[in-house]
Amino acid sequence: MIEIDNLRVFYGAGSDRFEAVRGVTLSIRRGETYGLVGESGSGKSSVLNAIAGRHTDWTGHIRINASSVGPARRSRAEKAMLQIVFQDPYGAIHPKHTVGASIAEPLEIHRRPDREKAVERLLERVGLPPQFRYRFPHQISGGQRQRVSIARALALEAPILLLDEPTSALDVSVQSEVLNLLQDLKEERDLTYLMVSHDMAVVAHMCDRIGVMQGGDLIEEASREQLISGNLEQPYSQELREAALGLA
Amino acid sequence: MTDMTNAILSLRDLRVSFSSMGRVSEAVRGVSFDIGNEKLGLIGESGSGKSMTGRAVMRLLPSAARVTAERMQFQGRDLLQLPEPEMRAVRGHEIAMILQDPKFSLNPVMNVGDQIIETCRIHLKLSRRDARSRAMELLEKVHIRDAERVMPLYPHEVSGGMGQRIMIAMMIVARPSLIVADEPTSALDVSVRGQVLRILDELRAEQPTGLLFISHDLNLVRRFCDRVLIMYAGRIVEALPADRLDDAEHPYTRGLLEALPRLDRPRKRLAVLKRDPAWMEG
Repeated sequence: MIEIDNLRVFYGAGSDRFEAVRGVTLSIRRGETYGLVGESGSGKSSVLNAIAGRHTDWTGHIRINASSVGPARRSRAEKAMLQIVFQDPYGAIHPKHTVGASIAEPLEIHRRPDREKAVERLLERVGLPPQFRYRFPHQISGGQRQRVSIARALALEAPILLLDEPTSALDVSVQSEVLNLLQDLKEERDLTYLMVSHDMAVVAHMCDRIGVMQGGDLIEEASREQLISGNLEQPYSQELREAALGLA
Repeated sequence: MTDMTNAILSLRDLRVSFSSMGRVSEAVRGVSFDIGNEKLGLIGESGSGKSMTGRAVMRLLPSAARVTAERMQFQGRDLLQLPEPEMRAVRGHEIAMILQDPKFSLNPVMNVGDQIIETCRIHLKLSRRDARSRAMELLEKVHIRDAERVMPLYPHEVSGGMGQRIMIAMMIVARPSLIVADEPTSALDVSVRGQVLRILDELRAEQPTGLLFISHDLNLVRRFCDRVLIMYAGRIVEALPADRLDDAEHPYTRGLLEALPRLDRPRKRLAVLKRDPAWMEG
């Protein structure tokens, strides 16, 4: 569903040009949940942003649903293939738009019909009451805001969701609700997830496979079983795993 | 509970309330604990009152907050009755605080060397030259090896982990006997987190120090602390040894543990916490 070949991502220009991702190759099957883990500066979010088309200074090949996308501006059909859910739901939703308007926005941009009904259905699907469409982001809790972000990401029925630390800003009890919702949606709609996270425990819970990033390189790929049993090759991957266990 | 005679800080029935537009809301509703020479974890979710409790001990709450306690005794002194100038001497000197993000705790327009030197001069009444060499020692103590290179840097030029170690260096200038650490490692990468925790352990090994470790991270507190208090809606609902956290009995603590994804106990589906209004009262 997502194939990346020798992806290199750059920031800055001239002598300040910095290579944040240094040749990453990976592929994610349809219906799979793939977790990219690493610390700040490892390049995990840069990979996600290149796939999403948010960052254009990259080389290599990215194929989404078997068709190549380039760094240049994408067509509407290409954009409708994937959606992102961000870490901070307050920053991701317009503070002066109502919840309903935020969810309807992608539908308007893509000129989809029956938007009123669609917003209603989406709210219901993410477990929010219908009257929430008239609320503003500051009038709802962080967990509810993240549900709104998810509803918005689902609006175009994109088959791929890119999840950038989707629960890092949430309390444990709220995190479990959001992770459960994401799991249900995936099964129901046969979605493909790419999840970026620093938390190995969350990744082990959600993902079928993981890739560990360090300093712009993909240093190891492992299955969920390997991650749980600790059967990892790289010492750095082990270190991340132990930190998630609370050791360190 | 720690024996009263060994307690560095003893709190009974701490309450913090705010009144606005004629309505009083209580953020901390009767918190009691003793902390001795130990690592005491205070766990709670946002809004539970855990940070408010830490700040009340430092007397760093906004003036709108009303703080009362039956007892708030630190090394034999009643912190609530202490006049502000004396409290200022306690703060930073005998009770120190580390916060989550060093970016907001350090002065952004002063290089880090000068900030540590200033702290040494104020607390230890040292000359500038002595303060400088003391600052270098302190930086080495928090494992910053190239102190000469780090001293002229400004806070925005150092990493989060480095910033947090600089904060700790400043905090230990005066050898506090109580450290209030409010999410000290939450903004740090895991590899750096371990380092900061080890430094805290090393400091405690040098002299008896109570560490009040405020956190939302159950896995971390389970491994790092000696005892844990669980806070919910302004009250402590359960207290137990950290290594027995999994034996917790209170339904809220149980609920949190069930909701937590764990590498060592994988499960198909996470439990969702169902809040019971009765927890508000116990």
